[in-house]
Amino acid sequence: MKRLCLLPLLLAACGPRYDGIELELYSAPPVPVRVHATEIELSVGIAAAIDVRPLSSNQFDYYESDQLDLRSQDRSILRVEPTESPRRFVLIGVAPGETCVDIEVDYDERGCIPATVLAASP
Amino acid sequence: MRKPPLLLVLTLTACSDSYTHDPGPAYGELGVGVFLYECPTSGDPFCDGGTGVGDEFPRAFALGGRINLQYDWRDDAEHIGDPPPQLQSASSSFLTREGDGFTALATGYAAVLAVTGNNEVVDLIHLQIREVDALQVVPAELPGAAPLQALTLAAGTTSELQALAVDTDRVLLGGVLGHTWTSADPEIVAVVAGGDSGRVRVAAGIAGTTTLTVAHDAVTVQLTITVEGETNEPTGSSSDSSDSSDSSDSSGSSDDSTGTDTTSTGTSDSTGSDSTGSTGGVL
Repeated sequence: MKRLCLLPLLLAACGPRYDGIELELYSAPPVPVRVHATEIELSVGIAAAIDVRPLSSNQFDYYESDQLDLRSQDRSILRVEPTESPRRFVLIGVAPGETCVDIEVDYDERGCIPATVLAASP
Repeated sequence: MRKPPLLLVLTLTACSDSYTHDPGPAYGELGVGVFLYECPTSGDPFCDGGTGVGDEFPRAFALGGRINLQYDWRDDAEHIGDPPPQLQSASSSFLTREGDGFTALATGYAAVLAVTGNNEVVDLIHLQIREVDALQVVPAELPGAAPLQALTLAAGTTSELQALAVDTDRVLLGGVLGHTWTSADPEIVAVVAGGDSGRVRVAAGIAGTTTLTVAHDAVTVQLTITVEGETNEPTGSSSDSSDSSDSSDSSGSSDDSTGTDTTSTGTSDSTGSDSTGSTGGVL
């Protein structure tokens, strides 16, 4: 009986331990954008595809099948849309302003990334 | 000792494969398919045959222009047979959806997204929207020709003209724009069709010289037209443009034309080489 109780604990210990995310620009927008785990900045009208990688602090890495989602807190300022690749998202500057992008990994909220959408320069 | 450098050179040349880029469509920035420019009306020089899909994707689009795009999966094996994605504007302050197309509302870069039925963005492209700096007029059948400064027509003939919108760099702009064409003397030259579009048919009436003014908002260009030969009434819609518009060799074809010359903005022999321009129109 004791063994059975220990098994789930052991299994849980074998998984990755969340230690932040890494964002990498995948597309090349015509104007500069700033994409970082601590800050997102882009202009109105611009869309940028990013690759997102959850980092683990232990020896177990996240699999691509591990759930990951990014969600904008204010879609009237910044949209974050999924792509066909589960680790790729598209950031879309809708209107000038500030918002935050929520991170969800393995169905746990992992904080948010402050995002600024700048007015477009003509 | 000599082999490694030799191998290196061979390896490098193998890598620099000559890549031929098809200038027609615009490849999506996510590398899935292509965006195609569509001409919903005749008179858009980006489309050789009048309407349909353009032979070339415009480098930039006119502010206020109506832009119709299509998306094609091309050779993407994963999507062959899938319904085409819907095209969305990233920001309605730049591009607003109107019917099948978009209208350009502000200058700058505006992303268009290709979105599947399950709301996934499969591809995207940025359109550059520029202000119309000048208009140029070319013979409709030769959209890549140098802009006309003057035109000589035989009395009783008709000719089709095309207005092109260019930006400050003389880049021809895509997007259908409304135009007005006004003849200073309709007895000499009358606008007989397409007066509110980018392409127009004019009819040569009585002999004389007059100016034809093309306008889009505050941007105008004037063309001096000389009608030679027997005096005739303007001939409605007859389309015997056979030799009529060929007599249109720009600049100083006729002596009179120089006197009243009203060349205006778009006449310089633009770098515009990239032929096809923007406007559309119905004839």
